[in-house]
Amino acid sequence: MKSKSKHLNDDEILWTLVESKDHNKDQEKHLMGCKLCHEKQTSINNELNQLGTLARQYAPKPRRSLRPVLITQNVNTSYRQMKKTFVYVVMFIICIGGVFGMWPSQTQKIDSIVMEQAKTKIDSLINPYIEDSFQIDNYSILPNVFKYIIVDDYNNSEDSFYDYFLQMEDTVIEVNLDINEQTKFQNIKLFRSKMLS
Amino acid sequence: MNQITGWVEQAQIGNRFALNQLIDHFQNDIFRMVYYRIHNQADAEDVTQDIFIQVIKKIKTLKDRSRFKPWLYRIAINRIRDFFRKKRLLFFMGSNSDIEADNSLDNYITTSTEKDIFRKELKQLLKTLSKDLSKWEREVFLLRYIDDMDVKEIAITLKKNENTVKTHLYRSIKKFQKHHQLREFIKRGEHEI
Repeated sequence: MKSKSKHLNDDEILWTLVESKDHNKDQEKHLMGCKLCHEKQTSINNELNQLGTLARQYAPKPRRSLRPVLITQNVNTSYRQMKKTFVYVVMFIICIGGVFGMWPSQTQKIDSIVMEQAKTKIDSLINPYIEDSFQIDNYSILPNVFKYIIVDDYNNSEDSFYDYFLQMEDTVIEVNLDINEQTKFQNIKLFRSKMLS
Repeated sequence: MNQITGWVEQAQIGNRFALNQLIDHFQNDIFRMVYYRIHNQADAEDVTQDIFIQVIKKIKTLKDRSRFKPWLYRIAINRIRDFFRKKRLLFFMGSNSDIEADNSLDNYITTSTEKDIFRKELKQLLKTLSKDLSKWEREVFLLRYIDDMDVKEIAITLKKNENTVKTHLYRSIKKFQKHHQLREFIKRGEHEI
């Protein structure tokens, strides 16, 4: 608590300017009684208020009206804006999609490499077998003159040769002949005998 | 203040007359506020107009109509901040020449009469004081003494605690006391008025 004889220091006087009047009643009471402290406070307060007055007085006036011109936005304009926005959004999505679609992802890259390797491996394993077995198993039963004829798609053909060939094959299936390398000669014999009979 | 609240209420339901009344009532205050932060008349005019455009756009979002003034000043502070950001960006991009040119034009126009010389001196002294204050000290000081707002309004405007505002204000007054040149100028100004 401040005694009446002890003056307020500069900081305390400044705080009286910042705080509301009823905040520190002792200081307020002292200011009411002490002319010196009161004068100090009033002097600073006046200077600050004077600064505000000067600033307001000497501030230039705006050279034009600062009120923005209001333009009503009709429905057509807003609809057009929405349409425009929609087009921009679609274009943006296409661009983004295009950019990301152009470069395959890491998983896609790995998949393609693995598939390539697998394909090479399978080709290397199967090709000789297919070539041999195709010639031996299917065409070995035919007379030598037809041995190297390759039929691409005889289902759609109307050639009489293919009809003959298909007929033969059907017969082979019907009699349940086992066509493989070991029994091919037996089968030929059997087939011929069947055909003759 | 009740009249302002009434205008705000009317403006919120689309009354253009009320909106114009609000703008006319505050346009000089806001212009002055912007001017003492930007220190350039042409830029201050542009920024003030931007502030009112923002007000028109956002007035419907204001919930407490009695707090229109702090709300308006908050928009103003944000727009001023945007202005300085843009200016900094232009400076880094090397296209600040138009701003500088505009400044020089402003100075040229305001060096004609005694009043203009006085105004220029005040502007310069306030600029010097502003440099010595921290960002918040400067803002609180200007809002309190140049824009004539009380501590409570400043606290709402800056979204700060009242005690924080008081501390900034106390520090800024303390720094102001050390500016003898400005204090001398104020004493001189007292006689001129």
